[in-house]
Amino acid sequence: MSAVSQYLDDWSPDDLVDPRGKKFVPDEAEASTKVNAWPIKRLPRKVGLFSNKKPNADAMLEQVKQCLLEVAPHLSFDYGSKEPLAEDADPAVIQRLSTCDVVVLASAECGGCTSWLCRDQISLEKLGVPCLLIATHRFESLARTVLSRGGIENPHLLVPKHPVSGIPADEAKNKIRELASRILTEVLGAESTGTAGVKQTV
Amino acid sequence: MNKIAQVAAFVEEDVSDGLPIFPPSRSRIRPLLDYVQMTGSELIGVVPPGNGMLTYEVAAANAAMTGCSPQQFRLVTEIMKTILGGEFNLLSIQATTHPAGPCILISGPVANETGVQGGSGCMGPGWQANARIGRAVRLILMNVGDARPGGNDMATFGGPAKWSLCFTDQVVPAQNNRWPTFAEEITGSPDASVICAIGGEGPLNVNDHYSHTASGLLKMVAHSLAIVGSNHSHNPRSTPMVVLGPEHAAVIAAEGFTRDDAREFIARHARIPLAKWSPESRNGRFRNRYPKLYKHADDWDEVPVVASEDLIFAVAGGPGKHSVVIPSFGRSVSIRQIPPDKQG
Repeated sequence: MSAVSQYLDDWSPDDLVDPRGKKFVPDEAEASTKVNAWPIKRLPRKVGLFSNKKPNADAMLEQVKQCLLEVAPHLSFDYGSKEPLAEDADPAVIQRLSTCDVVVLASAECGGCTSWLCRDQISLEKLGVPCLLIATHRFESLARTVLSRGGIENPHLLVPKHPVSGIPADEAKNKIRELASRILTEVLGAESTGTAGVKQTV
Repeated sequence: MNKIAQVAAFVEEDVSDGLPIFPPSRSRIRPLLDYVQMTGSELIGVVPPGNGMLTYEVAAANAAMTGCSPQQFRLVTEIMKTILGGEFNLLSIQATTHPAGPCILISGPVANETGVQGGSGCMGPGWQANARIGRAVRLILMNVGDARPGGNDMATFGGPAKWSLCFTDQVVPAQNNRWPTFAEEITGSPDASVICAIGGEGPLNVNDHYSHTASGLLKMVAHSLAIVGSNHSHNPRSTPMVVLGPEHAAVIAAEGFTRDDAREFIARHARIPLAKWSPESRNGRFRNRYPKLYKHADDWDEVPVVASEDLIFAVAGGPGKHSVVIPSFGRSVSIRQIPPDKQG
């Protein structure tokens, strides 16, 4: 006990320094740090699909494309990707995708890939492009933290049940298929009404 | 609330790594700040993913919690500058599911000045400076970076090396073929000190009591590096670390191998046949991803796991026929020369 007490005797409870530090606020005015590219400005004509090449990321994006084409066959798509996944995307790819009306990003289901894919989303939304991030439910919280720190306070996420890699591609696609109505609502502002048409709400 | 309850509250509020801490009182922090001649408000950097602001005062609070001396605190601040920069990729290392943490090599005279050990048991436990410095860095990553298990630190398992993996290296005094330290190799000066940090796992041992040639020993090291489950075996430009034990290193140096020769030998022999990966991994990681390289490869074609220029290489440890491999997160490395100690 004497060994312990020597560490307890030279301070008072009011004398402790919080070792956690304050949260960083960029130099710009608070308002300018907020990123809010939503809502989509017009009925989308071109949809971006961005892959970090995580296993099944491409398969899920392909399923997103299929879901959209079933109700909006007029859509065109632009595809971008990056490697390695734990780095920022090539700025030229981000710039190219910024011409899209909305970009869907996949996939966030590990720590490194989630945090870096969120950075890509932040880059795109700072350019005014609404983004929809595919993040599994296990990584939703991390994604929200990183996006929030990047200024996106109300991120748009598509959250399939974890995992989406380490399973056959068809299973991953099915997990996206189950979220079809959400995809349509987010990307088209529409409810899933089959192939009869799109209920435009934006 | 009494003092003991106050300490307990600190732990309960998640400012510890699970072990007891010293209270970060101003009286403990002041000498640390005085030593580095800072008021405390100066910013070292922003620590991801929580984006907490690491000021000197906050760094000192964490260093005080592990009992760092003023000289050791200075090293903690230099380590933080190192891993916040370069290609360390701290954002990934903090959040990854992989059991990676900062593996910190402190090379050069500063190690001796601060008590950092590079001999027997240098990777722990038991050496105060190694433990306190490494643990202070870990506390900063958790407290300022908000990387806590089950929260923003998504490590599937984590690992004991994440508490602290901090050590120094040695020269190899082989006759007619002295191997310098890492710092001397990088800077050309025996008086310079360097921090090299990689995002790595805990050490993987290479037991070789049989080989007594350079090629025999280096093959054993290379093949220990070439394992299918490691991140560095499939991520491009990965930066694993090899730490030769002094007995192994002496044999290799005595045959006339330079450090560069040893690195090159390891890189050339650290290869894995495609057949060792599952069919799904083989196709996903290699054939589909790099079709020009692997589309027509047969299952016994080999994949190199590291380039010699990316392999971090050092000599440390005590007596014994052992070396270690530190598997890496992927590409995660930052090397920084430490400025002279103003107080030194």
